[in-house]
Amino acid sequence: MNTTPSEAAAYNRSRQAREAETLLDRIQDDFPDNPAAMRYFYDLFRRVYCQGEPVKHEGTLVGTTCIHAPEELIYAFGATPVRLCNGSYHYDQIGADFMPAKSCPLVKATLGSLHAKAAVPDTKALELIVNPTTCDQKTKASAMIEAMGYKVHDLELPPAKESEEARLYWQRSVRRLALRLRELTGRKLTRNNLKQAMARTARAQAAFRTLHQLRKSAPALFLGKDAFLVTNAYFFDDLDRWTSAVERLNAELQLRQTEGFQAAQKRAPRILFTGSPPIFPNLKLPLLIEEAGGVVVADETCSANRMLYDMTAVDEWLLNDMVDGLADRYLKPCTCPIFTRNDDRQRRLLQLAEDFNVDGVVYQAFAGCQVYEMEYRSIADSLASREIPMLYVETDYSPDDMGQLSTRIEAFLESLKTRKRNKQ
Amino acid sequence: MKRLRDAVNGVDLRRFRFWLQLLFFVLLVYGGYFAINLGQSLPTFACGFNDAGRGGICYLLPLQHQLAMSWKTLFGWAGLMVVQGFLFFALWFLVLNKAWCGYACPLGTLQDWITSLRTRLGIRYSRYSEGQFRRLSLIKYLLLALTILIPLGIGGALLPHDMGTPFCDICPGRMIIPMFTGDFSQLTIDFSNKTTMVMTALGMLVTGLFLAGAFFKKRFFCFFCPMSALHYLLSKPALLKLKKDGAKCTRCGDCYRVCDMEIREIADEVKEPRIMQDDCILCLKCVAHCPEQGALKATFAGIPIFESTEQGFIKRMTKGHNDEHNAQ
Amino acid sequence: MKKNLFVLWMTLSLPPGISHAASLWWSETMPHAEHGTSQHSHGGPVEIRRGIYHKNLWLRAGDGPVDSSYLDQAVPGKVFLLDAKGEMSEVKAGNVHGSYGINFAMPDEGFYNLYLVNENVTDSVRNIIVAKSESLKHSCREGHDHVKNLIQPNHLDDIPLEIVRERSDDENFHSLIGFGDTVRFLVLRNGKPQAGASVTIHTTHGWRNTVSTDDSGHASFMMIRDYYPPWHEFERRHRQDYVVQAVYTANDAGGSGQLEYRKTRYEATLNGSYYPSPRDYRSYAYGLLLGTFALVFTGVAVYLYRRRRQHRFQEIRFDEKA
Repeated sequence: MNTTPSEAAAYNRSRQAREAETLLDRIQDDFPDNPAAMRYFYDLFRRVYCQGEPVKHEGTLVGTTCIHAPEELIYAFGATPVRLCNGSYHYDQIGADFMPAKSCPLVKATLGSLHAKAAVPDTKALELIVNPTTCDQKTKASAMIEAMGYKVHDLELPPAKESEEARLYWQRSVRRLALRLRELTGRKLTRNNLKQAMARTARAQAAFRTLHQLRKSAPALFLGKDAFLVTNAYFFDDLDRWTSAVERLNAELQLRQTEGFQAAQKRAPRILFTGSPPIFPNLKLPLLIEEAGGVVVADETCSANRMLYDMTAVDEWLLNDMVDGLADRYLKPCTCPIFTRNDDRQRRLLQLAEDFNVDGVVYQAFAGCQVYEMEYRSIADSLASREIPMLYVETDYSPDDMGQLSTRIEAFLESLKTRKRNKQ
Repeated sequence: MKRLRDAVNGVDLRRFRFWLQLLFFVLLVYGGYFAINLGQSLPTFACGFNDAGRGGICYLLPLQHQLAMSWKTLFGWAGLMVVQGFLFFALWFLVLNKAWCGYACPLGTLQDWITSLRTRLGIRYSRYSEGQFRRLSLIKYLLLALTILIPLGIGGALLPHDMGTPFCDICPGRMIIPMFTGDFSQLTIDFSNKTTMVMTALGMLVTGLFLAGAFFKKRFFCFFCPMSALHYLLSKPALLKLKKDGAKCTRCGDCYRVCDMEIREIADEVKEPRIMQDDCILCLKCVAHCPEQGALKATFAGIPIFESTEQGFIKRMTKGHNDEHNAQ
Repeated sequence: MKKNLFVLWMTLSLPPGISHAASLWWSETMPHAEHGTSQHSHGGPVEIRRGIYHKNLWLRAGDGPVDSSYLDQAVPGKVFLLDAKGEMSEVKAGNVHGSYGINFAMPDEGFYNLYLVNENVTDSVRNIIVAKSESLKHSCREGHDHVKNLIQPNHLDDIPLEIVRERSDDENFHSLIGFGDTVRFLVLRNGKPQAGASVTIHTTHGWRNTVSTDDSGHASFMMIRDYYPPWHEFERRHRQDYVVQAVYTANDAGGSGQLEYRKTRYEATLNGSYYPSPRDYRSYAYGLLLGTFALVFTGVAVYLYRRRRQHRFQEIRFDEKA
């Protein structure tokens, strides 16, 4: 919060800040012609991640550890959500104390950042952490976070989403979250509050969808590394400010589209990114792809598409129906591998591959993220049935495998190019 | 052309439906005053008991009448007449398919108005549980069977003639629709004999149940409607169709949420493009509430006329967010 | 055409046949119930032959249904049918199911008027009896488009004395005359309203009432209730006959020889049916009571159910036996 200049300076020298800065430099400097509207996001990350500026928030700050926590509800209570999923190798190492050696770096980094003294984004102001019981590691993290002195609400998520029972169970979980938030904030949930919150989120989602559609254009108009940065900013940025920034970006991209601008080479292989989420500053894999001449045109990850794409529909604008509608939106379309079946994820990938004219798929699985590792086979089969090549990459937050990864990616992109040439 | 298509796909379906339903309501309930007569084979509840105002007659009334003829007549020369009536019914139906329910049916429109009253009062709706739904949706077939078998039984002198139109006796439309032209004579119990007494009493009970049920449950009566069951037998070749492109579906369930008839298949089914289920009333709310480009569409004779689009969805939802009262 | 035919029979004025002091009227009630079958239709009993409605009417002599007999031989006079399209034709009466009567086809929707005109001179009084019957042909299959036109009564201007039942404002093909309803008649002499004619109504069970026509030739009666079966035998479609008889005597003199007469007694009859009134067996009170009960019961049930369901986590119940 109120850091003295000396503390801030000390922080600037920390490993975390260096990690962030190196990455931002690469994102900004390695590529020519970045959209001018991206400047907002570069600056935002520099301020928050490198200079340790506290995250602005109105009212109570509520942390969330997964996309399943309905943010509209949090906003409706006048609180501000901040997503705690962390991508820092530095915190990953701190968090390693809490988890077994072979476990998900995302969960470890989240735990690490919560445990760290001067974490970024700042976590000291958190009054509640909403922890959806998604994968085992997040579920077990709950008690550990509580032991660190935070208040935690376990948002119970069913392990299956197809059945009507699961839907009703989840709707009740969400209603219980609303009760908890009412207790926390002392405010009432009203139709108008919720409607306003939903309108703000819907505007953000609409802006995201426009950006998403713009990425369909071939040759590519916009690079994946920037796209991930934009969606990562959604984790902690002010909602309306973020939306306006994305709308500006969209306007600029639309202008570039009419001008016939190309963000990548015409022949650059178009990549669909799926699997474990790239979270700043761990944008290692998308960045490697684009540095090697590919372009990430679409993704199916919970740090981007899965978080923002699906929208809530309401039939009757009455409070109960709106809350249930929100609950449905956070459960039904979700393609998270923690659920029993993954046919929705398969279909979504195939459709994205078709819509975005994709040449190949890169599947990132964090070492220790078992659910993604377990779905590898079914996704590979499903893509193979449509003859879409896939590169499966098992990695973590450590920079050690960069060289090896870069070789594999280059080879993969080269094969895609060859394939494309042969097809013509 | 593209602009027109965008305009159609971005339509405020709620308002469009309201006006179209009102138009059909006036046509079928007050049409008689304007000398409109669409015949007596209409596949919708244009109640024939509304003598003065009806603009056509619900097919179930003449059907029951015809089937109650003596078997000798029915299986003789009159059989042709029954077939002819059914053909006219089928022709009407083939044009609009089940949109007769979602757009034309006066009783359905009435239920939508009651629903709108409820939302204005801020009272939440009820839903059936899945098990209830499965069981209840069979009732309409049972009612259809009775609607056909009882008059046949009368024709064979097996049942008293007073049950000549058994479904009309218990159909709330008989009580309610004539009231719109100032005819309250159906709100009586007929004590002339046991059969009529029981049937008219049932009719009034169903009417009370209908009014209360429609208040809490969207399209309460449509789950039990034998006309809907009769429709479903013919819905395969109909011109207006509801289609789903399963590949584009994210199974977000938005369509299922807004479905008045609680049809789960609309959200969950991703293999079969012909998505229309027997309870469907083709109100097309699912299409309007689908955010995926082209995942759901209504086609007429194979030509898409209304399609789900991202833009249309966002437009409609933005309107919902900004609307002060959100009355239906 | 219509007119010519009519004039034709007036000139052929009949010789005295059986002397009839008794009134003559048409009845649609079968003389012997065991003969043949008839079906109910809107507009009384009919026989359906190959889909075409046929009407049977029997001539009866006497005042009112109680005191009249069916006839077994012909009554002199010609029988004419004015069909629903307004065409006149002569029809042949004869033995119908054992009694003197007539059977005619009714292919078109609307009213068919049957006339029998009988004339004789008895004791220097010329008696002209016009027995008229109005039969409605209506099948719902033909639709209900032109009811207002088809429902209007027809009369002939050349009939010496004719009774016309006037239609009520909301009358349609399905309307029935019920107990307590007022029925209005118009008496026409050669097509012009006749004031001062004596009009008598006879009902099935012998009740009668006589009034005189007013200046515009109108007379009206309120139908009485004369049907009191035990409840389980009550039939709401219980059809009862009534006969209206109008008599007017004029000092018309004429004729010659044996047929010379000093005055003329005109008599017209018209038969009809009446039924129990729905007012007698329909109850709004019970209807609304039941409807309201169902409404309130459902409303309260849903409310209570919702109240109960607000207690969370009570959805699961265990049953030791199940």
